[in-house]
Amino acid sequence: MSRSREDEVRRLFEVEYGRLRAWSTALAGDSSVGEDVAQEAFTRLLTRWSSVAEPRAFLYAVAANLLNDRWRQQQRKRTLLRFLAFGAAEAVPGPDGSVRDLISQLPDRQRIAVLLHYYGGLSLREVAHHMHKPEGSVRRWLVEARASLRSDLEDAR
Amino acid sequence: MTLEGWGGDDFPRELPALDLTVTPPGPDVWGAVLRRARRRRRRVVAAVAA
Repeated sequence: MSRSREDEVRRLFEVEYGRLRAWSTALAGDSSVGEDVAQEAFTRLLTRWSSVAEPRAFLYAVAANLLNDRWRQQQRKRTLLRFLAFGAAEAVPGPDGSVRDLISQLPDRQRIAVLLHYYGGLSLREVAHHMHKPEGSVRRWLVEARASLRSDLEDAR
Repeated sequence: MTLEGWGGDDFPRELPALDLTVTPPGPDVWGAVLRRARRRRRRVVAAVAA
């Protein structure tokens, strides 16, 4: 790894690390997970720097995918808990109405699109690039996600 | 810090904002990231050479 490459990533690290860690922490609901996710995103950026065209978008795409994997694991765990706690509903944590909770209930593609575009600040083109899908598909998932979030939020009121 | 509308002008009003508390990284976080990346690169190089 060349010194100049490390210096370039370091400059981005100084500007973006705190925000990426805060973003991941808010979405994971756990500061140690947020720290791990942000560090892993920068580690991957360092190892792939020469092939990354938009470093900031890359960081948020990696973090969103790591968070998504975590959500999937938690969903599997909740399903198992619900099964094991049959008749003891209080043993299964219920929804808390947080952003994290609302987004965690979206289908994978909608969730990633919402995280990157609305909460990560990536353009539609950047989101489409990182999801390897056309912009039209991303736009459609965002519309669908907003409709289902709107309905969830109305139900919660 | 609450970032209303982070994500651009089209941030939907119906979505709640994320509460973000942005603090600077600890003293050796960059060092840890760099060491981890170098280890990973060495492993890849070794695997390719093997």
